[in-house]
Amino acid sequence: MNGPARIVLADDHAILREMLAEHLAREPDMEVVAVVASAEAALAAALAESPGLVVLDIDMPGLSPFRAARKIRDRLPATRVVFLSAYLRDNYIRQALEAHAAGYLVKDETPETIVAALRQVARGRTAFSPAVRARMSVGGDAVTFGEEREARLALLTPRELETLRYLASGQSRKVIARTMGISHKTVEQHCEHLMQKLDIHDRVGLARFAIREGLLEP
Amino acid sequence: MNIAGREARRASSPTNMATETKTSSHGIRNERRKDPAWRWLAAAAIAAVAMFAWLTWHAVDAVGTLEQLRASHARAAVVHDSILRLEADVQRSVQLALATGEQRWLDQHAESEARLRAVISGLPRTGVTRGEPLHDALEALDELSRLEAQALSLLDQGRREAGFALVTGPRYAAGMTALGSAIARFDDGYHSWLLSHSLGLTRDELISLGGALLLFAVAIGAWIVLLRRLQREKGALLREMEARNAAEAGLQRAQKMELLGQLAGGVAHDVDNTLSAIAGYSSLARGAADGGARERALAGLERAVSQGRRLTSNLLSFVRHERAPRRPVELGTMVREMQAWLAPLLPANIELQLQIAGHGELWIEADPGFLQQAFVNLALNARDAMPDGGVLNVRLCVPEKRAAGDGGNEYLACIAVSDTGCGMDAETLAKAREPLFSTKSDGRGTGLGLPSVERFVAAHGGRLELESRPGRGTRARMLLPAVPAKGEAQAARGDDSLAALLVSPDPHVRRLLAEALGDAGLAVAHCLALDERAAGGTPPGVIVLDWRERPADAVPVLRALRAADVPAPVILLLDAEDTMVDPAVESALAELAMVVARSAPLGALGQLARRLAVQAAHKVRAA
Repeated sequence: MNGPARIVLADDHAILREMLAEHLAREPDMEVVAVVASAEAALAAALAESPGLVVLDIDMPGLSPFRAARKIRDRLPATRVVFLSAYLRDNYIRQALEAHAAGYLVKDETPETIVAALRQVARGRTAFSPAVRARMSVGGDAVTFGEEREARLALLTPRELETLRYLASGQSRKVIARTMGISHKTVEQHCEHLMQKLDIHDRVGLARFAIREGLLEP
Repeated sequence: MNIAGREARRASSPTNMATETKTSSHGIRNERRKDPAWRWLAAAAIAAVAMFAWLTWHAVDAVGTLEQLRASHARAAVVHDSILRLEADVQRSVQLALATGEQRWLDQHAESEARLRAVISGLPRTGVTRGEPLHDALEALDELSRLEAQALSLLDQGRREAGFALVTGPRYAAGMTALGSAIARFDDGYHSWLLSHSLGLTRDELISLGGALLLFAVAIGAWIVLLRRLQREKGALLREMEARNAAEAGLQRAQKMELLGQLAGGVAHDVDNTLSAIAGYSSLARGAADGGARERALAGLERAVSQGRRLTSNLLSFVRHERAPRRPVELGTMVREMQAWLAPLLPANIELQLQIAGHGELWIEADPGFLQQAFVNLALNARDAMPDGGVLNVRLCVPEKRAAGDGGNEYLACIAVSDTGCGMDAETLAKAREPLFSTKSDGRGTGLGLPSVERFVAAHGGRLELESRPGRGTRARMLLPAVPAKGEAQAARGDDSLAALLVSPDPHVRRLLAEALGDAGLAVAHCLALDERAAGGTPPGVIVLDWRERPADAVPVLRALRAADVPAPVILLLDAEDTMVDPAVESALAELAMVVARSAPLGALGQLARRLAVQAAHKVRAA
């Protein structure tokens, strides 16, 4: 990469903003070109400076940082946006991904981790905090975000889900095999797989889970 | 008795039965409007009015019929009288005419007969048809006239006696009788026509109907009174229920505020502890004599800050009802880490003893933040039980074998925290686990410490044991399901035997998946296609195969993998729409791999891969 990565930093919490700026200033491969307190100011600074990277706090008053990110993307396609938030909210993650953010970092991360993640983004990769990543998925070609009632349930295939319903309602494996038109052995495998996926290893637990998730009438 | 208890009693009273299921006042008002009792009442009123009208109509009609009958009887009596008189007159005049041969009797006879005919012809013919009595009467009269004419012609012939005998003989008498009976039949017929033409109610029937009507009216009246009383009672109950709902809502609000206050108190307490530690370490750093001491103080400061952060994140996940991800934790390491954190919180007269060596490593799977919090709760309880100082002992025990059939892990690891403080009597001990129960004075205790420990332990499939003797001290033991030491230790260190092999043709997806598997504590090796790596290198604990071809094509690839003696379980990532395949492919795939839709959340996927890798490691060890 040629020269240091030029960064616009926006956060309405002065103490955090200053601390991060201080950390970034110590890095030889990074240069903070503007430190601002709102998304409007970040947008203006980005348009003026054409930085490589814009770091946006999500909970800032005024212009929505997601809108600012979309505008930056429209006007400066080479500039990458990373969101930084104290909150891990499904709604935020979805909006960030919709705005094609290159990263979403939670403020729980140490300053060193944040700096390392920003460096990664500056090099053209993405950076998501593990807690954010856990809620994302890679369905199809694009990274998407699924608001799951229960994440473990999304691991089941439709046939395993069907098996779970029958199993939880107390049917024997023999009957299930006949109903589903598959061999007894395949039913056994579905049972084993779904128990592994849900990390529930007894029938009572499965029934309880199925009722809680609305797969079965209590 | 508290309010809830009183309400429960009230709710179970029998008068409440009709309305017991109605909860909201709005719903109750609607119910009242639709109350079927009102419809029944209206129907009964209409029925009563109809019945009254019917009976009145009958009564009026019956009076009319009686009047007609009376008039008809009077008229019939008059007619009967005149008929009898005329009959007698006819008979007498003809007999006298024959006896005396005088013309004036003959004239009188003719006049009487003409009047009799006129009377009979003038009788009303309506309704009397059967047997035609008036026709019979006129025929009888004609017969009599014929006999009289015969008698008169006999008289003209000079045979007076024979003529006389004819009008006094049996034939004439029979004609008179026939005339009388015809007239009598007419009377009967007319009488019954009148009766049948009325509504057929006799006086007795009318009396009994009137009585029934009266009874009916009385019953309806009583019913109306009863209904009104019920309505009144219902209204009172509704008002009471509305008041009760309002009171309950108020009580709930108050309880919520109380709980919030207690929660805030508990959190403030924990935050306060953290802040004390931060203040302590800051002053240590400020007054540090050399670089080493400052470094130690700063390290302590960082620990305190991360503890504070865990506190807030735990609080947030508590508020959002999230289940925190569990990770393998080595209890000895955790206690050692916490020692540095606890030390500043203990006064000088309390000695902290740790007995954590000697059992090797004790691993459990838990959320480290919650575990530390539970541990600190027990330690601070022990501290508070020793205001005059003493020994706070933390001990890790030999894993205990769990009772058979209990399910889950076989062994329970244990942390015991004991003190030499004031102890508890049996009664206090029995209450110690109840929420909001606290023996600590001046608001220092929230009564949430032990319940939160118990909740944590139960959520992790373990149990909390408390032993105490007054004056001798208390011992609290957290028993948590142990996980096999070796595999987990390796997992936590990122050892190769908990490695995952990730196969994906898409570099972007591969990177993201690798990061997610890394988050789950797996060492990830990745490659573009399966055959590159499967045969050689370190055997992976789990293989994650991001499959982009037809699902059926994965079958031979997976079979080849098994043939090459790679035992690692395979997670086969397919497009969501490809996870529904025909039964033959479904069976083949189920046998060879675990199919997961690519759209599954990465966190859940990472955890699944981890579980499979841990199990595979156990299997390898067992073999």
